[in-house]
Parts: sequence; C-alpha cells; structure tokens
Amino acid sequence: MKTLSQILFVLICLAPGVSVEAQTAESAAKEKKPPITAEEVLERNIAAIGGRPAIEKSTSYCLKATLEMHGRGALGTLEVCGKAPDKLLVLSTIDRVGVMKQGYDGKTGWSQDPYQGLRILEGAELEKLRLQAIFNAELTWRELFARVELTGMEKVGEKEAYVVRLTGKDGFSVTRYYDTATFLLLRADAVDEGPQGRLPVETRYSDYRDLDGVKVAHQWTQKMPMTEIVFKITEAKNNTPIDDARFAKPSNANP
Amino acid sequence: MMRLRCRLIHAVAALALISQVLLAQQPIAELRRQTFEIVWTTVKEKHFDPNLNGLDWEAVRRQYAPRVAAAGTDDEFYKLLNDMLRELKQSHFAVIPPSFYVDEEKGDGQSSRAEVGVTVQLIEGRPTITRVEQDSPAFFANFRPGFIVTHIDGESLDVLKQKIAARKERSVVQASLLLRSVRPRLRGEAGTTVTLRYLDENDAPHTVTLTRQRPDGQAIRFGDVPTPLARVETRRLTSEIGYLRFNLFLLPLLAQLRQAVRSFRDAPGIVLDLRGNCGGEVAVTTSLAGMFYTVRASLGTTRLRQGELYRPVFPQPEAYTGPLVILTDEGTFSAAETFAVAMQENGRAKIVGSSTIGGALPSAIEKLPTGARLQFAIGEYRTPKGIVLEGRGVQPDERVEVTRRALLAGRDPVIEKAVLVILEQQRQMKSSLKSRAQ
Repeated sequence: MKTLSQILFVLICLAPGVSVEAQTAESAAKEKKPPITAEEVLERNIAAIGGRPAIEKSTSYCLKATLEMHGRGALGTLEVCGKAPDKLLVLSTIDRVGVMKQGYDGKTGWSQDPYQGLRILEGAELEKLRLQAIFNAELTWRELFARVELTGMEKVGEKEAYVVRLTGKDGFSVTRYYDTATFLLLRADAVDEGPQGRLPVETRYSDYRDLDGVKVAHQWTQKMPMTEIVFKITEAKNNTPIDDARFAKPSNANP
Repeated sequence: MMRLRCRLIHAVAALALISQVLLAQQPIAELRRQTFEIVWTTVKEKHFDPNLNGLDWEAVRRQYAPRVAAAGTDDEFYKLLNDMLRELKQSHFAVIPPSFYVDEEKGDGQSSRAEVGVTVQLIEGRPTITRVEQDSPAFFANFRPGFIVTHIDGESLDVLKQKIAARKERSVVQASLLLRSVRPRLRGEAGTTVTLRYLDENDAPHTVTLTRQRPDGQAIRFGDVPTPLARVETRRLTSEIGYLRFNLFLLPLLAQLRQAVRSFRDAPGIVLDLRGNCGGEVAVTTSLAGMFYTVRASLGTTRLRQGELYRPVFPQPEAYTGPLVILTDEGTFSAAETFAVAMQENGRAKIVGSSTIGGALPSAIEKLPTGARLQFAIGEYRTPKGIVLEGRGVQPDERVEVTRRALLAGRDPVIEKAVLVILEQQRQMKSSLKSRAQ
C-alpha cells in the first residue's frame, strides 16, 4: 500500500491549478495551430469554472470522496480540507491499512501512516506540500509557473482539447488538457517524484458540478503504472469553519 | 418398494450430477480460455521488461495455447499455466489455484490450514528435520531436529530429491525447492493425518502417523495472498543478546516487531532470524529498518515498466544502534531477502547462515475468471548499490553449514555463530573506544 500514499500526494499535486511535478512523459500533441494562446486558455479556464470573484469567495473547503481501485472495488475513503492562505489536510482511510494523514499548517509539513508513523517533512518533500497547500492556486498560475506554452490540440476521449504545458520555476512541469468547447480541465499528465519514487501519472477529470458558483470535477481517475484509482466526491463544502489545529502536526508517537 | 425408491433416488441423483457436469463443462472451457488469455496478456503488457529478457512470448503462446485447451483436469490446466510462466525464469510469476483460497472464500478470517509442526530441509544432502514447533503434534510424538525424513505418506523423499536434482538448478535453489515441496505435503485440513517414515538419532527407522493441528499464529489477510499464519518469537540469547524471529513482513505485525526491538534497547546486540521468512510488504521492510537507523537510508529501488519506486528508510523513535546480525537460509525469500541484502550493503548488519535463492521481484496479484489468482512481478529490485538481486541471492558474511550432528545435539550453529559475531563486534567497539580515550 505504499503507493497509495504516493497516489494521494499525486492527487493533490494534479488538482486543477496546482502542480509541482517534473514532467517527462509527454503526449505527442497534434500539429494543429491553436487559435489561442496558453495564457488565454488558462484565463478562460478560470472563467469557465466560475470566474475569479466566485472562486475568491471561498476561503476554506472540505471534501469527502470514495476510492475505488480498477478491478478491485472499494479501497477506502478520502477527506481533504484546505484553508486560505496555505493550510492543507489530506486524510485517507484505506481498507486493511488504516488511516494515512498528511498536513501543512502554513509552516510545518507532516505525514502520519501505519508504516512510518509520524514524520516531519523536510527539503523537497516539504516544498512540494507547501505548494500543494496554496489556496485557490489556479488563480496564481502566473506566480507558480515560469513558463506556459500551448503545444497543440489533442483528443481526450471524444473531446478536443488544448494541450498546455506549464513549467515551474524549479523546472517541474505538468501537461494539461483543456476542453476546447468548455475550457474545463479534462486531463493532466505529470511525473510524480518524491521520497517514495518517480512515477508517471495521468489524471482525468469528469462529472463537473456546481459548488457555490464554482464548477468542481467530482470524479478523478488516476492512472499510474500497475494501478488505476477512481476518486468520487461524495460531499464538498465551501467556507466551512475549520479549526487551525486540524492542520497542525499530531503529538502522538509511533506505535 | 424401498429398494426401488433407493434406486430411483440414486438414478435421479446421478442424472442431476451428470447434467451439472454437462452444464458446467462448457463454461469451464470458456473460463479456462479467458484465464489463459489474461495470464498471457498480463505478462505481455505488464512485465517490467517489455522485451521479456529476449523471450519470444508469441512463440510461448503458440506452444502452450493448444496444450492448455486440451487440459483434462484443473490440476493439469494450472500446471500448464505455471509451466508457461516458468519460461520467464523469474520469481513471483505463478497461478495460484482456487483451492488455495478456501479460507478467503469462507470469509471468517480464520485459517483452516493445519500442520504437524516440523521444518524439513536438506542437511548434508538428506531431508532432515531442522525445527520442531513447541507443543505441536511432532513435538508430542518426540520428533527431534536431526531426524531424517525418508517418506511422507509413502512417497520417498529421495525420489522427490532426485526429481528436483534433475532440474539442474543451483544447489541453493534445489534446497529451497525441497523445502517448498515438503511443506505442502505436511500441511492439510485440521484433523487429517500424515504418515512419516524417519530415521532417528541412531538411524533406526520408524513410521508414525500424526494428526494435523492448527498451529499457533495469527491468521492475516494480506491482499489476495492465501491467508498466511504469522509467527513472532522473541527471547534473549547468551550474554543477553536479543533474538527476534518472524516469518512475514506484514503490517499487522509491525507494532509487535517494533516493540520487540525496543525491548532489546539494553542488549549488546540483536539477532534477526529471517530463516524461513517468506517476505511480505516492502513498506514493512523499510519501516522495520527504521528501527535500526538514526539517519535516513535506503533499502534500494524497484524499476517498473514506467518509473521506479524507492525504498526510503526513515529513522524511527528509539532506534537500536548496536550490532545487528541477520540470519538467512534457502527459505529466506522475497522482501526478506531485499531487507537482508540492503542492511548488509549499507553496513548496518552482518549476515550469518547460508545463501538465499534470489527471488526478489515485487509482485501484484489479480483474480482470474476461474477463481485462481495470478501473481506477477511488477518490477525489478535493485540493491542500494544498484545490483539486481533476482537469481543472485543474498550471500552471507559468515557462511555456516548446519550438520545433522549439531541438530541432534540440540544446537543451532547459525545462532551460535551470530552470537560470536556480535560479541566480536562488541569487543572491537570497546577496544576502539578505549584507544580513542587514550
């Protein structure tokens, strides 16, 4: 189950608007010249999901989701909470493994799972989580990414998509596919690299639903080598009061 | 009239049976075809090496497909599938028949597997009892380490040994195959019997029938592996050296293993006995390793078809920093081998005992249409220094040959050597500290 924690990390990193991974597995985008720039696609995406004013109304959120592994059925549940400007908590309960947590309180990043117990994150691992914790990150793509480029157009399933490669200041990059008709994010490809490994990840987003005027993908399908996991959001709330203590490092030691 | 009714009942029952068999035959043929397809395709599409190390997998298909289609029985069918997978010449490729999953289908979390309580290994070329479990049927029948088992239920182990020898594998693989071949012959349902012919300490022949008994141990569900029984043993050896033996690296045992290591905090050294340890979860190997490190370390990497997985070790609270010796033999397998070799390469532990076979490919298990499970390797393990362990095995720092004489004398020469290694390390540490102080 070690890979599951990686999957959860990746889930966060590929969330619309936030990406921190180095990209190597590029898709061959078609040689069509798109009638739009990468910057325009990203801004149209912000408008498509509800626009800056609607997105900025949210200062916290909590979502709950089910996890299913392809061919195996239910795997567990997931709870993610975020709070402006930079707090994050990811809590997953996995069948036959237990509870795995990861949190960032604006300063300290930590993880806790049945295998490694409680760990304080450092270095690149901490930086990765810090970036993931940036609230409403999709609005700050200009600060997060040093370069954005439209590499072409490609089909994602039946839908035509603009292919945008975003490269971070440290060289990390992610390739995103935006629906040419709706400008909603359909897919994101990246290579997740962390202490546990280096894995190509493809995430597909679907079942967009309105949440307080903002469209949120309620189903994410994540393909990694040897596994495919489907996340289905069962509950999502904006501006829910969250005590800061929830993001803080737990005090209990390892069993 | 009564006799007629009986005949009618028998006839109806027979007809029902025949119709069931006829009805079942067609679906079984189809299920087998689907199963063969999935097994062959999974290897083709998911093997970590897309070139399958140069093996012509299409030719393998042409060779096996007609034979699999003509298989008469389930046993024959599964044997052919496993023969096909053996063409890869790699560990962790196997089809596990549905009969191994009786406990899982039952769903009560219990294991119905029972044993007689002996471990049989090749000692000086003879199948010899190396371990008798306390309070087991064999224990109460006065079996002792050093007895030579000649027959199990009338089957000659010398003949079995010759069959294994005919495969012309490395000697450690032959020893492992014997260990693994004998084990299922001794296991069975609780209450069933097995007859052993053996030679005692004076080479006098005996024949004893033992009733299999459910052994002590924790039945653990672990993915789609047939429910294993986990055993943990802790004690103090000479000079208060800590001794920890366990047979699986599985999460439900982790807290107990950590606790055991912590309980040895005052010990001059720890012996981790991984003889017969079948492996388990990679994540548990790194977690346990964290109990022996105060700084971050690595237990190696796994190369996947795309990407790779690392095996980082994060130091755990109250880590033990004293001398560590790991015991290995031909029964030390899979994740247990990767743990041992990495700790050895990192200079954190000395290995005492005998070589392992090098079956070190991490694997996944998927259910097949017939109810069997396909185990297939998903990656290639490399040690911290980048060496492929598969087919190579762990080589001990101190090789110890176990003799029948030692076993009959109630000795364990491997543990004895481990104690000497720890005491020598202690002596060197003290000497080093003394010279620094001067």
